[in-house]
Amino acid sequence: MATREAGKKMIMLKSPDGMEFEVEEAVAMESQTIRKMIEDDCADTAILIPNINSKILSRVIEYCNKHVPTTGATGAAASDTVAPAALAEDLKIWDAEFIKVNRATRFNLIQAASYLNIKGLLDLTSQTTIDTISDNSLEEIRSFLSTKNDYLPEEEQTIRRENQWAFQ
Amino acid sequence: MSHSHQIVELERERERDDRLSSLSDVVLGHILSFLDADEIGRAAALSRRWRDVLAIVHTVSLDMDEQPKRPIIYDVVDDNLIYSTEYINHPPAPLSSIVTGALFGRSRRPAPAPGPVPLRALRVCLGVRLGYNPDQKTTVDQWVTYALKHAGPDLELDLRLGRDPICKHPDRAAHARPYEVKAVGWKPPETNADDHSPLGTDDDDGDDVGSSSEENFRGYGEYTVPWGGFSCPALRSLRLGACRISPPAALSMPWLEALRLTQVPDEEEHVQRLISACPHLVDLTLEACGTVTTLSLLGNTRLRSLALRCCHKLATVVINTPELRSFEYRGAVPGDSFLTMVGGSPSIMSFKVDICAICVGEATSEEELSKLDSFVQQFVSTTKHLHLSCAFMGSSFARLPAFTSLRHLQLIGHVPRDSDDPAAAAAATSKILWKTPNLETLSLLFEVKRRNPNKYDPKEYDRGDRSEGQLLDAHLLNCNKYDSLDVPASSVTVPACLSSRVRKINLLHYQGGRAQRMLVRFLVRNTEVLEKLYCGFAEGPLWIQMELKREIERWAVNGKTSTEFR
Repeated sequence: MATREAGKKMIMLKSPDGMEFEVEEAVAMESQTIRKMIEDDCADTAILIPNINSKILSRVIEYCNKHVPTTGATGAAASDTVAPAALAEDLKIWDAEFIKVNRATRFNLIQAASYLNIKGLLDLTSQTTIDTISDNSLEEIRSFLSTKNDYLPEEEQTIRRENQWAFQ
Repeated sequence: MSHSHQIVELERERERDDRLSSLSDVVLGHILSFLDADEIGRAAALSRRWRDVLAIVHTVSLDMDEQPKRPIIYDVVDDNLIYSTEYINHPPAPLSSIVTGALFGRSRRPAPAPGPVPLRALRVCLGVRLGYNPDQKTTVDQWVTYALKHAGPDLELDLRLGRDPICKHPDRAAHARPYEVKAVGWKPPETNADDHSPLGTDDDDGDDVGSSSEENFRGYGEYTVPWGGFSCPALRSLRLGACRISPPAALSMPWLEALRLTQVPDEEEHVQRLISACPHLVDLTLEACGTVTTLSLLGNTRLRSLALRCCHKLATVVINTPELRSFEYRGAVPGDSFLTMVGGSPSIMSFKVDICAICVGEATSEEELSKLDSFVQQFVSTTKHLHLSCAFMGSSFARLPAFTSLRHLQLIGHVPRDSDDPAAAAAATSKILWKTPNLETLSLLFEVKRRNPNKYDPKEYDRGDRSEGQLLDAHLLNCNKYDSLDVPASSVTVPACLSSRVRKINLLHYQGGRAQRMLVRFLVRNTEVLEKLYCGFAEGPLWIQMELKREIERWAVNGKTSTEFR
């Protein structure tokens, strides 16, 4: 992987609302989707990121910036892929803070993480979503997700019978 | 939040679409894969969109320590409690039916729909009280066969059928066999609120030191892994707990990258044979494998991460692992010849030593601790991240060799509020910091009780120990402004790295109390180039947190320090 020397390669990311973000290539490549574009040489000028507005895109970049395999403060390369425990704990604290957003933002982050294929961000947003619905009754989850129960009563009975093991 | 505000909030939420349901199957399936299997099964009843959730999740996972509590089991009839009719008609099914239901419900979608997504992980982890009984042999075999057959490109298989803490009641051991480090002048507390050990020395549930060895076999059924189906090259990660492994002689799994064995009752030849059958392991963990005395990793040359925890009899480990970067050891102080490295030393970046109070037993003399030196010596030149954990923070590590490459240090252990020598923690820490001249980040994790990596909490079972539970409910914070926090300059000197190198200090689970405040004050006041200070408090009243916060802010000598409290 390219080292982050003085002449770091920069990539321009554009959101549909016209904002431009200049980010280091290594940071942008946290996204597997962008990585593929770069590797396929489709990233000469600016990469347009469809469907992700500037507010969300800036958060995504913030996440990638934090999670890109860093070089130490002194400039010594920490080329190692083993995430040292201390660093991992640091990141966990940072992540917990990062994901304190409202539901709409979190949802947009899920979509962005999924489109850009950023596994860590997708896992973080997924886990947080799951934490909000876990341990709740079906009615609570429905109300929380604004899901309408469109089953006919007999259909719902069938489901409950089929998945009886889950309703112990 | 006021009630009316809450209603407005709810209304606002309702106006939105159900955006989760509008996600693609792939994304929704990924999100729901974080749920336990029974919750996924229930989610199918949410709405039609969710009808086939079982087929779109890539992970089936069940993690339970106890039979879930059921709301109504009893009816009161004539002042007597009897099982309710509902309970008699629908007795709780064994938990195994959840895993079976979630796995086999995946293929229920009618023909035109695509088949279930390939499986990425099957994790079944049951607490020791749920255990495994021999009637379930066929069922568990079916899960394993199904998972291996329906695996995607990578499969993780995790079977822990009877999870138990790997070392039991560590607090009690610390209490019963206090160990004293003369060099530090540390005495464990007599009796105080920081010590949550049960007062009785040995209670009736038979938990005692030294789990998992054969003599301690738990008496109920024991699952034997069916290796017949394991020729599946998708299997990347395998974790087995409380299962008999009995690997066949011809077993070979060159595709396996991660192996974790916990409390396997097999004789050591079996453990060795299984490990040798996986030559391309990258990650190996052995926990509480009480029969293993010698371990040869000569054939596992690709290992990058190795963890050996509480394998009480393990005395000799031979490695030939040029790529090893992370090494973790937990147990008693290892002997001089514990680790033999063939073919040059690997460049260990992350090194973790945890002197387990249980494993240590009665024999932690000065002499014993000095052996740590030769063990640790092998990693001093390359380690960047070091974790040192023992019953009382820093106390076992007073005579470390110098770690010249070290950047991050984490110390883990108790710092009891009241002890005869409240400056002991500061003294021990200062001694360690003298050996880490290039340290940049220092993290202190103040333990309340010994961490339990297995999430198992023996308190729940110790019915006789109510008072202990009440003690835990009480908060742990303390900030008495009349305590003197000066450390004696004669015994505690300021290490060089504090004045010039350390830029970041993290305090985790900070409780205050005289000894901890002395330690923190000593560190913060003497760290001249401190840029960032993070402090996470233990639970407790806000006003004490505020007092602790304010005094830490006062201690920071460097006006540029950014602080974060939580």
